[in-house]
Amino acid sequence: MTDKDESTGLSEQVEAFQSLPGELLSGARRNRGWSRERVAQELNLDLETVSALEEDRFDALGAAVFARGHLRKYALIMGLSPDTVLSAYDAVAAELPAPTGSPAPELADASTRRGGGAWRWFIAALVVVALGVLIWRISSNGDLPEPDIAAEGPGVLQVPVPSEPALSVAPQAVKPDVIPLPEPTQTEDQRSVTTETVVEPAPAPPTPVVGDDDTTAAEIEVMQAEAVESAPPPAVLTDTVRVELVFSADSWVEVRDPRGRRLIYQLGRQGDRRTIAGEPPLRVFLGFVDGVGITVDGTPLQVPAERRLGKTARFTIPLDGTPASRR
Amino acid sequence: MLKSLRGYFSNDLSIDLGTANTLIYLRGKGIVLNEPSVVAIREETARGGRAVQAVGAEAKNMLGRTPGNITAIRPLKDGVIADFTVTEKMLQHFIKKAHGSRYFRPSPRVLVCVPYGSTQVERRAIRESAEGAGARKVYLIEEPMAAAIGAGMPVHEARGSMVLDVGGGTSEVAVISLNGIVYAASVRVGGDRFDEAIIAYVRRNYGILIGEATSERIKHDIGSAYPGEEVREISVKGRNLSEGVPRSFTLNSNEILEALQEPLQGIVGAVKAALEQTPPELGADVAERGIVLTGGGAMLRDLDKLLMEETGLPVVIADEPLTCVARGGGKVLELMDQHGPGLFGLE
Repeated sequence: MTDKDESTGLSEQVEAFQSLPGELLSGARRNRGWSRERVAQELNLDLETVSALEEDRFDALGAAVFARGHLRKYALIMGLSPDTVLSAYDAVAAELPAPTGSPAPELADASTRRGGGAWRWFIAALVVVALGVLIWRISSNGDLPEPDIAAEGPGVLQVPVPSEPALSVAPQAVKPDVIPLPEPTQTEDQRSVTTETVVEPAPAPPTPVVGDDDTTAAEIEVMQAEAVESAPPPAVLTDTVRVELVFSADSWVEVRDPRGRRLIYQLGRQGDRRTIAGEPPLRVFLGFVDGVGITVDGTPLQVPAERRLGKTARFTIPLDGTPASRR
Repeated sequence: MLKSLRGYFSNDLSIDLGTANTLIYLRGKGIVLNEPSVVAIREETARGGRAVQAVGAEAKNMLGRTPGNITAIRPLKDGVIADFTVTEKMLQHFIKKAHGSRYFRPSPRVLVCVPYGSTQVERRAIRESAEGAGARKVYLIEEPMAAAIGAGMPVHEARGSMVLDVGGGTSEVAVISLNGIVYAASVRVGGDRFDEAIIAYVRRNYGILIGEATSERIKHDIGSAYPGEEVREISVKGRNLSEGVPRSFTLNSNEILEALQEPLQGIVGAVKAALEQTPPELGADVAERGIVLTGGGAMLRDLDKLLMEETGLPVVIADEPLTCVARGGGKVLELMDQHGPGLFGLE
């Protein structure tokens, strides 16, 4: 701060001291030759109130609205500028203690209580991230994830689809080390079935996938992988059902077994042919039902009209091949 | 749920939904909007509907200057809603404008000031209008209480405080003590009645028709409630009713004082009635400290002098009287979080 600034501030303080509102008003009154009684009469005020105004005892006047109002009117009848008197009052009022018990707090901290700062944006960021994850999951899977699928291990969702078809891969060539699958856990029902059927064990694992001549090797491998995933233990293979899907037009297809595992979950292209095998009942969803021919264990299946919704269809395939609602 | 989520990003609002002007106090920021309560509606003959052409000051400039397919209307009359749909649209526009550009449509808690004398039906209309405009929670407070708090009166004390709020459509007088209204009355006299009185006076005495905007300008420039030493004049233009052509003429402040006598006496009568009905102890407090004037009507020249002369009591004008009601509502919003909505009898 320079010497000039210091001197300016000092002069302002001296001026403020010299222009106390009471002194200004009482000086003007004396110059006009008015008595306090006359001022009180003009303003409809008590003599005590006029004395308080001239002696700068503003706390005796109650709230600031009354003090300012009376000062303004007093200044006007004295021919003074109300702004000058009120400025002097403001300087004095700033040093007065704040009135106690006021129901109206200062508004300076108004935004802090509502928290207009960073935490709002933090919540907004969380919401945006959560929405983004939800949209990504829906768009990538088409459905919400099912916990039982995740519990089955990574092998189910990591079926590799080779970019180049592996040549001369016969169905019998599929080995467990190609697609590692976890050991299926047997339920009580399955154990009992196994006990009954173990008397006459299956001579060899049946070929789960039947590929046509025009089916590529890659498709065969995928189908094998899907079939292997969904293949129950050898003892229960007698309960499997084989479903052949022939696509005359592009159609989305989903087939799940009773445990919710996806046996097939992809877009079938026109001309494709897919064969899956699984434990019934199989839950089937077709995106374009008229574009898919279905054969269950060699028997053509007609999707009933009541299972169709527009171009889509939802139904189940039991052992006898009779469609029924999944719900 | 989405409304409450948007509420996190909206600041609370106090709205003085007045007949002449709408003021919005944004919590933490102060008065952020002061616009005329006017909406310009465009008739869309092709589609057979109505669309909002302009709101606020822009619409007010259209008053009396619109073509056939545009109507500039004031959706509030005498302090209450006269056109529900238009009021809702206007509020929606103002709330959005008060919040500025946001990514979310604001959904604030809103405190709306209502006239003391308004009926339950009128209050319900105001509440539903605010809800329709996007408010997630609507509180109502009576205007005299909001005006007293906004003026900084000691409403919490066990002393009588009298406030007179002269608005565009109504004038409200109340005696307040211990955060409650002891006596209040509302008369449907305000700035609009002043304008109408001036139009009627000019038509009767000059045979000239002037519009609302001209009448309001006369009131602001030379309007007076008490005879003063200085006589002011204004030159205005209107349509001569006998000749049918525009004519210019001059009015002076004494003529306007004469024109305003009837509505002014309505206000004085309300104040006198309030003083008669006030319990003696509280009346003594009012006599000692005085009556506080708020509202846009308090800016009518020498209205305080008139009331002092008629009542014999001190009368003071609050600082920034036009914004007292909205500021008072803002303070109540602050206190509501600490003391709950029952403190000032909020609905």
